[in-house]
Amino acid sequence: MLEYLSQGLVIALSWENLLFMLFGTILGLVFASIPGLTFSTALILLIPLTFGLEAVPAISVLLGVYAGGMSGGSISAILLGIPGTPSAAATVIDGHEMAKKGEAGRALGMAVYASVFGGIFSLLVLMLVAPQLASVAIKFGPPEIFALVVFGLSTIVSLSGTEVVKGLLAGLFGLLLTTVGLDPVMGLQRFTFDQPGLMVGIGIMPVMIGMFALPEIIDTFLEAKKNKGQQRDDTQNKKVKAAFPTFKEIRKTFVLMVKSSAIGTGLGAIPGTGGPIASFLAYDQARRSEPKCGTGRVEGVGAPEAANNGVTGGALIPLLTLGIPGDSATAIMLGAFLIHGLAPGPLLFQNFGDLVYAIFISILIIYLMVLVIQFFGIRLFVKVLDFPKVNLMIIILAISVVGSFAINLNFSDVIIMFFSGLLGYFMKRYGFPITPLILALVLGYTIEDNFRKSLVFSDGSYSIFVQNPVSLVFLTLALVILLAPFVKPWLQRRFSKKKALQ
Amino acid sequence: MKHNRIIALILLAFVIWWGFLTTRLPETTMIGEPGPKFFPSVILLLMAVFSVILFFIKDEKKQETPELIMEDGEKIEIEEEETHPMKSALKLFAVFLAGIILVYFVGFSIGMIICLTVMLWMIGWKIFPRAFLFSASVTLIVYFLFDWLMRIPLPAGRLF
Repeated sequence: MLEYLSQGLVIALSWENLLFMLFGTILGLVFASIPGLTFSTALILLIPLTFGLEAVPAISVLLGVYAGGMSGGSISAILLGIPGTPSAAATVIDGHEMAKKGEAGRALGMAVYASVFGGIFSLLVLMLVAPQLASVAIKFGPPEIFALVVFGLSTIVSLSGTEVVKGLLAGLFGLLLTTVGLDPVMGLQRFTFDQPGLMVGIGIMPVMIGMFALPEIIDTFLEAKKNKGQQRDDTQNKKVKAAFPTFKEIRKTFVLMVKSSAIGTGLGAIPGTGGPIASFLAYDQARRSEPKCGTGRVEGVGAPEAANNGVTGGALIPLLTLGIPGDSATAIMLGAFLIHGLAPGPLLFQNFGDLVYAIFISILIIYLMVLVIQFFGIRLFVKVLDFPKVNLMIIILAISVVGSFAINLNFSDVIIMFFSGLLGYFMKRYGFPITPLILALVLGYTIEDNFRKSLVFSDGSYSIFVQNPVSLVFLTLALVILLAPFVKPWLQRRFSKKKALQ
Repeated sequence: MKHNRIIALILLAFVIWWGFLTTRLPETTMIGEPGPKFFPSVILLLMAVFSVILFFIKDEKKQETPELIMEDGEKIEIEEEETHPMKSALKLFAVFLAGIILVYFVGFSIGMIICLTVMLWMIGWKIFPRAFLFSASVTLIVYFLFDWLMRIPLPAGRLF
């Protein structure tokens, strides 16, 4: 481990890596600062720019966007009362109250401190847990991998929010898309319509670019057309300056920060949960320790920020050790890993140990960068809030075309990007969540491949999936998660009927 | 007809069509292996089941239509985006698709400048030189960033 650590340190501290981390962090902070722009879009658009880079700088720049994006959502949450990211929704409650009282600087300072605290806490957990988990997962065969990926995919239910049926349909459609191309076992062509471009299947990146970027661009254009000439008045925010928490505040909130970071890391490690749930659970903890939360207290700002940044390290645990992304951001990161020849999973730790530790060290440096940039550069981000979104979207549109083309230098990927965007727009409009489709697209091939290989090993006997305790546990968990939204209301109705009769 | 019902019917039609394509796939020759048909068939079956469920799910209630006439009798002009947002969105998508086709024939630089200029004009940038200059600047920046700085080739045109 020490050998990997020292090698990782050399890679992480190269000037090239530091420069790309800085760029990624600033970009993540900028994208998260502007309400309506997501750092997932920034991640998607950066991937084509990383093609010419080595694996570690490429991953580092994306990690910079991820960490910067998680942290930057608090800026508009505090100053405008609009969360920059869904994970910063809980920060609005006390953060914006503080801003209204003229304490925006204190709130921003606490948000930065808590974000960095949560991020570094989750990194330490990641460094401790990930190698152990990877050493267990390396012994997994096709039945275990199949069950594990099905479990990862079952999180579609939690990613679908209230629209479970629509989420499941989106996920199934994503799985169906993975059957286009060459059959994983027999190598036969399936659903290619004699198009050579479809032989390798439907690329993940063009679909992601289309589905994440295009609906956002079109919505921004329509909004701009509707609100022409309307400008926001942010004159009071222009003079804001972040104030670092006092020693007394740090001491008082220390236990809450640890609890919130642990909540974020724990939930982040469970695929499909993510930042918004973690930040609200942590906010609940803040209310328990400080009953005045809701009236503008630093505890109400710190707890959700520590939790949503705790998610970053937590979400990397299943991604790096098992190759299972838990949300859209980690699904995009998985795509980036694969493009750069690093297949996340237990073998990553065995074959590229130095690179894994370089990534760990890079995350630490990124959070230190977040601390410095967000704390001292707050006025710059206030100005960013005024930047016209349309101008940014025009740039994103042009990069979307180049980005989808540059992956395979194939124009059919641009067409796929366009139709994915169109589909994504319809899905968004009619309440179909996009993330389940992306998750299914990323995991579909692995599921089918390992399912069919398992059956070859067992001569066609399905008992292979239940005889093995690991696969049995994962499949049972997956079944419980998938059935819960359908069984829960039925049980509730039955229970309330019984109670009424009594 | 309600949106959920229309979508469910479209999905069911899609499932039938894709199911037909699935039946034309060859059988497996390996012992124990379920073959290339199995996985798509299971997915399609589940899709059919959930499409039927979706058919019976009620649509979420929409917000009430905004008042057209103020209390003092003044009529409020409702812009196209408020009444037909899908129509406006589809127009923008159509222009973008036309832009992609243009890029295919005349290359990234010319195609993108024209596409972006038209889109900007459509969303309210009525001063043509301003929209054109901005589109040209963005295309130029992207060109230098990818083609010149990072040596990533941009789509070249079929015609020139």
